[in-house]
Amino acid sequence: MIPNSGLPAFPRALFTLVPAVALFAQPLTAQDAPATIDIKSLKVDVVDDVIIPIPQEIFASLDKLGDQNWGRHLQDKDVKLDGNRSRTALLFGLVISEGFIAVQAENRDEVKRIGREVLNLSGALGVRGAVQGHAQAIIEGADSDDWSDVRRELDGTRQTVISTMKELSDDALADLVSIGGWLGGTRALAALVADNYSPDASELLHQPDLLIQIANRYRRLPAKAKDGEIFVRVSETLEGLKPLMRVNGDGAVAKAAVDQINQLSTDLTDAVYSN
Amino acid sequence: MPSTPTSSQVIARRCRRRTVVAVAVVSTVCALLATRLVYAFVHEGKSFAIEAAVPQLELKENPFVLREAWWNGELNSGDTKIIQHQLFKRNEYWFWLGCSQTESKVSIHVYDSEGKLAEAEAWQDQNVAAVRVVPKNSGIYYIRVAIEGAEENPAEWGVVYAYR
Repeated sequence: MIPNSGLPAFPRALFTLVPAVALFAQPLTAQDAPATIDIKSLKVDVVDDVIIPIPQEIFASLDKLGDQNWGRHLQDKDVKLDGNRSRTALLFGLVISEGFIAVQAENRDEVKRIGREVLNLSGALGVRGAVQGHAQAIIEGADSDDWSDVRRELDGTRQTVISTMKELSDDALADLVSIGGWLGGTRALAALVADNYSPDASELLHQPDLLIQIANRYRRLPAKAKDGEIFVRVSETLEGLKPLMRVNGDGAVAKAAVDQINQLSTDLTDAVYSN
Repeated sequence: MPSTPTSSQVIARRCRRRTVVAVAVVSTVCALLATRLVYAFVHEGKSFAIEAAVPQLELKENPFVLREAWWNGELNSGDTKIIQHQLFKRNEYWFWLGCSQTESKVSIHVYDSEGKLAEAEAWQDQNVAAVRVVPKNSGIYYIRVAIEGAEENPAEWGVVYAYR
């Protein structure tokens, strides 16, 4: 039987070919690829699209270090909308990241609340129709404790909103959704590492190049997409994080830096929610 | 012997015929538009990449989790592109590259922050290739995609990835 992976009929029909492809695929040795590339002369060849990791990617690594107290870092904040769509996009990203934390904590009620909040926010962004199915699946997944499915739907929701925004030529809002998601994940990660510091866990905060990519992307957003005091805070926070989110000579992010990352990201998250 | 239709019956018959023709034309146009829309939303490079990903996503134990986000673009034969992407230590990643042109030969490789090859394994099969990475450190990695032998240039490509 062909598994249902949510693919269109044409690709699904090709599933049967996959074992054959795998059978005849050529394993490569290092000789088939250049052993090194000059990363200083990449400018002309670099793909412009930046895919920001979802919180779950980072949490998956953190969980391998042992059990974490995810429930302690759930924010459970009310979302108050004010008609500023850019702030709504940031909030959307934050709420999705809260969803990932709630799933880690296996907090059914919080996941369901987030499912409803996602629907509310998508309505404010004018993409409710595209998100409705995902939101329903999040709620149903929480009801049946199907956490893998909820994680998949959270990522699907995020991507659906971003894709729909781009189709509507709202690229700036799509970027703000991504930035909000990254901010929420960074806040939770920093809070957990600050709570129970270890060099191994702190290393996950080593994201200097990603941070530069995010900051550059944010800087290039049109001014009208950054209208409001909160967006000055976003700029300041991204700049403030740059010297902190990197490892020292020991391959760890110092405890003091982790505390500062926690403080900056928590302050900005609070400010986005309260505005 | 059939009776001669009245003028009102003739007019009614003509109207019905025109309605049938109009419905047929509108249906045809809609069908054509739908075909074009479906074509527009199916990215063949991505489809091939996802096809290749399926075995890792369907593992009975600890399957990889496919990200919904993906990269795409166009490349001329012989050219390469670099994707920069943040990876996290202790995770394991697969990246799959697919090209819309089945006769092309593609490759995908991953390099660390110093530009050194950083992959655990890689394979290629004509217009599909994949690479597995177990990052030694968290940070930006460089994913190099290349296409050769495409009959039409530029060729369309897509990269998807999964983690666990």
